[in-house]
Amino acid sequence: MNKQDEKLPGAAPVVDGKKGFLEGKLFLLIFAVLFATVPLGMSSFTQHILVLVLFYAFCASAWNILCGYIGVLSLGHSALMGIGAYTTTLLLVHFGVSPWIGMFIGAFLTGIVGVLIGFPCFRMSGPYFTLTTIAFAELLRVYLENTKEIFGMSTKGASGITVPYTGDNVAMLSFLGKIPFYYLMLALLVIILLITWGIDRSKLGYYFVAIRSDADAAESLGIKLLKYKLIGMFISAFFIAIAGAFYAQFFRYINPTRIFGLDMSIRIALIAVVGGQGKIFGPTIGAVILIPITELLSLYFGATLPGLHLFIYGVVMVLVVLFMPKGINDYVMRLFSWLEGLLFGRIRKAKETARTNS
Amino acid sequence: MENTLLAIPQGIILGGAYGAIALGLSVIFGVTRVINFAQGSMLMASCFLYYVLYENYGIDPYIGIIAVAPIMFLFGYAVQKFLVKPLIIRERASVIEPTSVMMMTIGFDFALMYLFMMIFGASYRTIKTTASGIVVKTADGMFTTTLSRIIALIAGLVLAFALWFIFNKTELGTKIRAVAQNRTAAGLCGVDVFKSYSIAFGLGVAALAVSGACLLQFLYAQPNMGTMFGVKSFMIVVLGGLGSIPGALIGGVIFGVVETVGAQLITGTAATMLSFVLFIIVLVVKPTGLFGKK
Repeated sequence: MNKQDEKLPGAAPVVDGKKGFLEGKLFLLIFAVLFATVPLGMSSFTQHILVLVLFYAFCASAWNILCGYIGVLSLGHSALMGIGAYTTTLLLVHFGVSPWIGMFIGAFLTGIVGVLIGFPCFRMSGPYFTLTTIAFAELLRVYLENTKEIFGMSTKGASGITVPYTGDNVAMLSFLGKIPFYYLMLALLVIILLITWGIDRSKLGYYFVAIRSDADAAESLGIKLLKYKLIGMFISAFFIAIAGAFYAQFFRYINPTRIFGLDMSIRIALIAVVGGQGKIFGPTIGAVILIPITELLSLYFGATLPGLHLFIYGVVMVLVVLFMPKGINDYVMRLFSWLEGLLFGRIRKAKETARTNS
Repeated sequence: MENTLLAIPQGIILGGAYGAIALGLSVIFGVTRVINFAQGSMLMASCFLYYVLYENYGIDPYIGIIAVAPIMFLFGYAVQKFLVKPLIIRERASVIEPTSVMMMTIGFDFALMYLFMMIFGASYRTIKTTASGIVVKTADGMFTTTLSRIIALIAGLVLAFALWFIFNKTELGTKIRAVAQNRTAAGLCGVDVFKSYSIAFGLGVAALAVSGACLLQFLYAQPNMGTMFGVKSFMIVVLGGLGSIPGALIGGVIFGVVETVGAQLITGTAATMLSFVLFIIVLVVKPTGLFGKK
């Protein structure tokens, strides 16, 4: 868990004291290119799955900022996502506010709600914290399922809101095909990965990790636990709300059961844990591996064996927690650094022999 | 007003059933400090076992307890031994992931729930037994309920007493309590720590199986039923105090009464929300619950 080990896979010995520009970044670059080009020419269904991969990668990354780095287990993130989705949608339906603006209003609101919820929650530790976050999410879900309107705006209770289609219109965040949604989500994912990377390398990130490793020791060193937990909560809530706004626009339908439900929270947490919590790329790796498997399984076995894909989710979760405590991320990174060592090691060796010969 | 007063015994009866479900969770946490998120699915699994016994062999769930409770005991024993134990051992070495056991039980919950979904499908299955058919009335006919619900309340009390007896009056119970209080010291005194954990886990799941038999009489078996009871039993157990046996029962009764009386005075929704609010307030004010020890 120490910071040194987490550095990108530049594991090969540095001979010149200087790394090649691509070293340690090569595979990142390959993946970026892959992600940027892969949906083109695919069927609509494949594109749908790819959007979901990015969506869940984004959600799990948002969850990761709070839960992975600080080391608490929140199962109430669906509620935060729901607040974002509902705010954006209500603003759009009742006031015609563009989702681009509504998204940020929702995100700020959710951030504030997150901080308010954080005050009682963060007084608790371990299982108590988790249970309180579940209680808050369930409270909101039950409320929305049975409420016809909020502040005079119709929410239609459990039957949910259908988001009106405003045409293929960039200004209203409404597109006909899946491709624009894909690139939007990709951009959002890149942003959150950059922010996670920034946090990972900043003082804030060190505070977070210190709290995760040993809260008492961190506090005795003068780290204000509540303050940093609330900061983590705000960032996490802010981004998960943006995911909620995206969800509403992408599916054009939201209801309390689906978006506020415990299943959504568990799914997000699961992806992050399987991928690797507290790692920059962990949640993304988790989503890339889990989402296509589960979507394809539910497509092919949905009729004959309902629930197979969720069964696989559960089994993978148990196995990962038991046998890969650091998540799949660790293995993927090791594989990359091995491959890079192979690649750059050879080039360097060639250079070295050239130098010793001359 | 009369309706409201009548709702109180209804709530107590319902609460007894809730409490019985919560007992298992409380016992497991009290000893191993593990929150078993798979609680709901384990209840569901035992309900389906009773259902299969009833449909295929005509065995009433009350009699089925003789077979199902030991099976579930072994099931719980195995879960602790093979899934939880390695994690506890690992966490003793480093405190990096205090949440990993919780994560594991969440995954296990998913796996179990959807395994049953694949086998039995998502439909609701009910059984008609003798006890669920008998209607019990007070003399003036004001208050009616079924025999099965009353049996559920009594079973909750008996179960609580049986667990209390095992933990406080037997040598096994003394060992388990010793482990719960101080794992290292108990281990030094020659108590097999992980065997005690496994037995406690098994007992908790077996208690769940007993309450499942009572529940199936007036409810249904369905793969998702665990989620509802899971969340509710967490709240009950926290309200009563995690690890406290009487706390689980009393917490259950409080919940039952809040729900039924609340449904009379305000709406059912508001009552459910009220129970969540109550839970959050108790957590914030007194995280150890009403009857929990520090």
